[in-house]
Amino acid sequence: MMVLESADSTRGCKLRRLPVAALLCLFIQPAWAADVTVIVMSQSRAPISDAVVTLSPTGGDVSSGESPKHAVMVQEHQQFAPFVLPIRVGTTVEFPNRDSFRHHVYSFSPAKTFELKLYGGGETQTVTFDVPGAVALGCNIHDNMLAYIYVVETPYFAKTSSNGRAVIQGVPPGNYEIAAWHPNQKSQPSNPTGNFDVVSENNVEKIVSIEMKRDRRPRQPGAFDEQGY
Amino acid sequence: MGSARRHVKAVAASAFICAVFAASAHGQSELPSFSATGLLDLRVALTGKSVSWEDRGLGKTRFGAATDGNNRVIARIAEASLIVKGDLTWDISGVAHVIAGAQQEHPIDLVEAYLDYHPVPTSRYGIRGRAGAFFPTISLENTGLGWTSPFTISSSAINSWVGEELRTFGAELTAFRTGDDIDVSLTGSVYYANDPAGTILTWRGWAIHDRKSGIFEKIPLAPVRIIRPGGILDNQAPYVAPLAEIDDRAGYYVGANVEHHDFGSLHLLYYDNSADDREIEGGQWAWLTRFLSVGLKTELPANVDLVAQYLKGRTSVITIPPPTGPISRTHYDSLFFLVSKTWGQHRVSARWEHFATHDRDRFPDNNSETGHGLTLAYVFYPVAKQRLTLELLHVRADRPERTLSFNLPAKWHDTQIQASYRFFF
Repeated sequence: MMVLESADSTRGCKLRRLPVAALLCLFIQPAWAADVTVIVMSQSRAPISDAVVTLSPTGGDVSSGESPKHAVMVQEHQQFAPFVLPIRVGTTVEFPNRDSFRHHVYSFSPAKTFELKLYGGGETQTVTFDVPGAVALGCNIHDNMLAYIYVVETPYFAKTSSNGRAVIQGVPPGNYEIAAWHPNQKSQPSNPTGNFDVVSENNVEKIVSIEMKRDRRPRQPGAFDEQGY
Repeated sequence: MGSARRHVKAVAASAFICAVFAASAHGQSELPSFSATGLLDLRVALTGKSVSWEDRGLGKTRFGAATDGNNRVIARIAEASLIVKGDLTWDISGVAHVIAGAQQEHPIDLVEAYLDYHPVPTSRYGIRGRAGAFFPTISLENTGLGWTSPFTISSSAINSWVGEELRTFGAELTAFRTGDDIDVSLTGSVYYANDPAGTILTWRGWAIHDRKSGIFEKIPLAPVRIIRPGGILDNQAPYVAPLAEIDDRAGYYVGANVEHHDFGSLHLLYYDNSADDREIEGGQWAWLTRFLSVGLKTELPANVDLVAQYLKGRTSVITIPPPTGPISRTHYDSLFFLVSKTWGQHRVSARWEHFATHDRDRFPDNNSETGHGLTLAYVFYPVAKQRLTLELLHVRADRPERTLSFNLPAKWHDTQIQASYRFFF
């Protein structure tokens, strides 16, 4: 099993045993990395959008890799956007209120319990998410507002688009546990669906099937009858 | 006593509205902040052939004949509603629903006026509450702005009755639990007023319409024999004032709602106005009215919505003190199934319903009735905040008192066709 070395230990080997380290570094940190495409489908083989795909290095070392430290969850037109926001542990999320009226954002999910009182006209507050898990967001003033922040430990994650595809770029060689999460999937929290190796720069394509709850009509933001007309 | 209390209600409600409007100079975002929504409903109706209950007939439809047997075309503003919401703090709001209409007893009246307490949930468990005058939590059908139905123009017989005779004038508290798959809530309420509820169900029976009575409104009654001058109960006024307080006793209701995220909602409500049914004041009897309501909302295959509700209860007055005095007692029940499908800017709905009252007293009148209604509706949203609805309503009923009081056939049927154009703001 291949274990990813951290940047610190690489520097250490350079100092003490340079030639061996150079050889080793060549072997364990090649210049290449693969793009992993994951297609998420339901039990009826329909593509699932807004699913979060994660690749976790086997062995649990998720300290390497880079990921954005900031993300944004917008409130506009009485909706959250995006519907699902995947972030890595430690990320600070901005909540700008772009409506002219107030929003009262809250979550009581175990991964993060908080409330934000946001006046209209662009007021922004931030929350840092430091525990992995799904965080369901609501607005105490507008019952129809709903969104999810999915906090992951691994730096290798992406969200599926409308065709059910997510591309995780720059995955170094190694053995990975693959998992997919969606707010409407049956088993919460999600379980890894298997392992695979990234062994060359050839891009990898994997298919993950998740069991969704009964196929309810998707919520149509702004649908006339949703607004009480 | 009752009229004094009604006066207090009027003053309290007026003060509330004035406070809301006076404070509305504040910006949208600052607290307190105020916002207004509402609707204007322009209506054309080809009426049924019976005289509507609004014109003191026993017809089942809102728009009826001028004289029995002759239908007509009516065009009018069917509803003008203004709903003002004031956010007083982050978790307390005031809501006032003002309704205007030429057919109302008062051209401007209140439908609801209450304070809403909704603290932000900090765990799966939470509470919310309301205090003031509001509709009890009973309808899975009237979910639109201003207690309208998104499916049809006319509400079911059950919710038409709720719209005309039921209004909580008190406090309601709901405790809820939000689950991964199932949300559960329990609701309890204590209220005054609403003592005459049941009057119209006894002497007119069920009806199918969209008319919401105002808090201060008096709803006309058909002059059936028993309440005509010289009738056994001619101390009853020729109208019902549903929100009058007569016996100074509190009523209550308890309810439960279970919503499974996949399969839909099940709703239960037990209502008991605990009226002292020996009392009469200002021509209004205190009717002891109790019922159980069961509602279901789910989704059938092919994205077809299903809403169903069953209500069964009884109402009575003791017109001469017991043990020997005669009692007017009516048992009632109604059931409807509504299916609806939406695609794009279109919605079609069909509702079938059964309704019945059973006269269970020794009075020589006969308030029994059985009937069925079928409603077909097409809704089109041409642009945002406008809605066109075409509706056909066919009702069949059998009410012996129609013959006894008005020499009309006990069995009859009526068809009403309506076109409504609503502007929302």
